[in-house]
Amino acid sequence: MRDGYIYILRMFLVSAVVLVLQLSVINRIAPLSPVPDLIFVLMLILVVDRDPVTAVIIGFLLGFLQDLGNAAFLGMNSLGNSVAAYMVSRIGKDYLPDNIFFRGMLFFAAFLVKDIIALNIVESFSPLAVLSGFFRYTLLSALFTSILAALIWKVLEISFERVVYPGGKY
Amino acid sequence: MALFSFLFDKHRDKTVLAIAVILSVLMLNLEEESRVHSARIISSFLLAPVENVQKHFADLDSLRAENDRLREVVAALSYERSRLLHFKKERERMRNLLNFRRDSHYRFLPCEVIAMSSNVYHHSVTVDRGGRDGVLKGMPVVGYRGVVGRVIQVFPSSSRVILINNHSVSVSCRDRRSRVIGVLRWDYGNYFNLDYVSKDEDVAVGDTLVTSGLGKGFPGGFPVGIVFRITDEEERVSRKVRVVSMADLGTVEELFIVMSSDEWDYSRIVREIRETGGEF
Repeated sequence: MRDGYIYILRMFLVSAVVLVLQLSVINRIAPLSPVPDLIFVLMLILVVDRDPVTAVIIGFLLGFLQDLGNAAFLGMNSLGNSVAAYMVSRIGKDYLPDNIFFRGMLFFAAFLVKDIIALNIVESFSPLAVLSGFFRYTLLSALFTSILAALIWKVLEISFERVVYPGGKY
Repeated sequence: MALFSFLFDKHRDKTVLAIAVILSVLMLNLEEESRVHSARIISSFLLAPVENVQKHFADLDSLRAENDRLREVVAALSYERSRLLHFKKERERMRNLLNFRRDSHYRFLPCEVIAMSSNVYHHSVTVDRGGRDGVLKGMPVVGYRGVVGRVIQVFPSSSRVILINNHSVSVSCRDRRSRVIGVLRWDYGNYFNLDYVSKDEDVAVGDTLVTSGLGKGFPGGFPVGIVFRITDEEERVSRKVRVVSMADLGTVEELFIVMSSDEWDYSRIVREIRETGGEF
């Protein structure tokens, strides 16, 4: 029970640090160009080997945290992250082999799903604007994010060996 | 009871997902200003430590170089100021003679960017000045080179500024040379289009655009961008005018909130400079 609280506290602190990094450092490194989404990376790492219910809750909460940092569209990241977390948890846990290539592909697909939802909300479901945003930002951002997430996942896999906490690896 | 069991026992994961989706959609339809204001204040406090962290990383050498450069600018401006004061008095006398209305003068509140929006489709920044400093929603924000955006949310010690590189923002502009008026809309990066300019209007490559002051969104006379390409298409009645913004909107750091357009108060400005430790 005590371990559970410590785990939640640790995750909250990690999420806060990642949010601060995403809002300050990342945009300065590559302004106005596709950038990796660190909060989404964190979410992918957390949900990839969890059950779908926990995954959706983690996705929703991290999305909400991300929404609080944005000037508009409250609920956009919560929606996108919940759907992506469900997808990653469902497919990653049951159907895909446990190797970095398939995990990277899964993360890439999850980012595309999340960003297409976000694009449609921002561009009010205008197909032309969505397509333009997709080719301008989404593809490269998805590539950066999925490579980063897959690498971190592999490093954690090697570092911690299998189970670190019941119900999920990390 | 059977339905509850069906939802939460048999299809628990799908039900939780559906609840998350419904909650998100509800949040998307919320009246943001009123219901989530407190949540946003919390987020602004969360981001406050970023400012302190960034100060630690400030490069001392670059600060010294900037200080030297600014001293040179101050020397040049002091000379320019004395000349302009002379012209100002002369101009005021002339305007009084002609019964023109009095000029407006703006007060600039310096501020630093402490966070940038993580959303690439909605560009906004958070600055370290808020309601306690007298910032109000709607105040224009400028950089060293030109207009940057407008305050859209005010917190006690910080404010959120929407940048002009958003599809929802349009700026009424005037060609500084020919006085032609158009509406500036963002395209991508630092590039904009100047709309509603007909083919017979005089706009040329290299012209500087300044805010027109029409529509009350932005005060007039602030530089916005430079025309770099003009295309005339046969089937269109208007010209396609491409503009690059003066300010690099992706790397905004030090900004100024345009506080008011009250009368020029020389003694107050001197007092403010002395209070902030500056030499005059």
